[in-house]
Amino acid sequence: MNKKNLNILKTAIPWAVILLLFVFPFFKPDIFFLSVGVILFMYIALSSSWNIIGGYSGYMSFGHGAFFGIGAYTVALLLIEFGYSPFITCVLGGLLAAVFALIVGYPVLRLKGPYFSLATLCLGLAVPVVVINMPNELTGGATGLFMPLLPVDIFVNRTIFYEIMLALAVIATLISRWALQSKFGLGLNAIRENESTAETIGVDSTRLKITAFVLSAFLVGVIGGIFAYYRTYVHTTTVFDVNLSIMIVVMALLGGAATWQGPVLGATILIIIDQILISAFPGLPAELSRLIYGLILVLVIMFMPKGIIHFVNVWLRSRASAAGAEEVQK
Amino acid sequence: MMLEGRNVTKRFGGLLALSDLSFQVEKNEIVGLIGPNGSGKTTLFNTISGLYKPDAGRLFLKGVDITRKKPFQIARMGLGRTFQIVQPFEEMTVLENVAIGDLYGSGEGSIMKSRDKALEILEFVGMKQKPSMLAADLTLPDRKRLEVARALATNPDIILLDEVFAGLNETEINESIALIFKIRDNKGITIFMVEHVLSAIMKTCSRVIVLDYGQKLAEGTPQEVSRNPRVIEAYLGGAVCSK
Repeated sequence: MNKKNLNILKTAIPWAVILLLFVFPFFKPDIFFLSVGVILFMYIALSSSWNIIGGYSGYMSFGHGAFFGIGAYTVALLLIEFGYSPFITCVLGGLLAAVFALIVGYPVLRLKGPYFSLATLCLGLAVPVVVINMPNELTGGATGLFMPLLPVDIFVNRTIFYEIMLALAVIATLISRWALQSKFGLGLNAIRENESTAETIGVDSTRLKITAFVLSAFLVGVIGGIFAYYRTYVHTTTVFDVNLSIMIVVMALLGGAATWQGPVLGATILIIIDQILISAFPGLPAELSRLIYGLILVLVIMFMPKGIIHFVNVWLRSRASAAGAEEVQK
Repeated sequence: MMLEGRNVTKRFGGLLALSDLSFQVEKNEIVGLIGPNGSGKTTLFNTISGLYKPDAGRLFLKGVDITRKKPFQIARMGLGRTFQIVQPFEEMTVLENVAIGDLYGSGEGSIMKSRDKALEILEFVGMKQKPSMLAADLTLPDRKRLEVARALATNPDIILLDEVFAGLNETEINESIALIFKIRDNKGITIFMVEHVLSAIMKTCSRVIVLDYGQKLAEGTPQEVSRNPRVIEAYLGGAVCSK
């Protein structure tokens, strides 16, 4: 096969997969698969959004749950108080998350490495405490907020959220790919490699980091808004979950944080493992599955610290050069 | 006047790294900066390029005050630099390393244009065979060349070279000397360089500034400076005196 055909195939296959996923609900599958789809696409979208700041610039945020929760609460409040549709207000949720990221980004993005990670982790823990202590009429306090269901039957409901999350996953992945391949992404990569050197060749690191952080927070806020409507219930423990903040990091690292494909692959692998564990061992306590994630993370960091994609690329390259050497010998 | 420092002082806690230092670099000059280890050469470069802020004094680039400017602003105003300990973006290709310099430093053009410009510069510094190599896989001489290429890509008017000869053998040093003249003569870029290899300083610089304990100890042509007894005592030290 020549190179041009290979390139066409490389573009065609992902779009064919997306098309298949899009038409999948119309074959009336078991509702279980639609629910898995919603969660899978959500994590692909979240992890790809996280990767823009966490993977490309190396500023590993462990506090993206804060943006997710802000989006979720915004949508819930606007629906309950004013009856605005979450499918529109999710954009407002994203904007609010972005504004919040802009405000906290200036001080927090001055910190580097583990200090940045710790500060964002604290942020992710602090925001729900603020929300739960707000007046009950506003955020529902410790009771949370219940939203009215979409007036359709459960299968149609799942199908709607399945398609929306699929669209969000595609959009987030495309944005993340654009971000990596543009001037913006090259600048972020330079910051990850060496921030002060990047500055001395004209990279405005403060502005780039803030932009990446805000863009990332916006996308996560939108996704949080849609998730809130999917669950029809928001509470600080469900939408400001620290596990979510950590999961999206693990997914990106597993797949390969320096690449745009990494989060897609990482999220897919982890969600599939998760579903297999749940269906194979129905009584499995959540702690045990978390233990298994931990084990995966340790193994990945030990044997493929740059993620699966990098690992496979290196392997392919070494095989190609070995094959080349054999050719020469013949 | 290309670059000027007026009474620049930089302290690190109780240590006076630069003390009331004034210097000037004219357009199209090749000026050397020498001095014993710890005399403040790299500190001066870091202060000029904006990585450190001086505690007192002022710095001017082409007559514009850059004392309070950020490193990326100073870079865009036409000051390029290399680092003594080379700092390529290791996980990126040689081409990307240089293209970033053009994209952000010279502030024009698209990615495609930057790739062409980067290839041109790689050819200029003699590295055109290696654009797709990862910077991490380069040898030391190539890493040094890459540092120079990346700085050149920002389209500077003056370039600060921090020990580009260190760790190179004689052939490589001669190649680098030729490259320095080429940068000045073909591109019209002024050069201000820190160097320990004295023979290279003698061949390239028209003027040398000698630092000791953050102060200017002497200034003049390489010949004048190397005959100056104060310089011999402070910098060349016992090795020369005993000969």
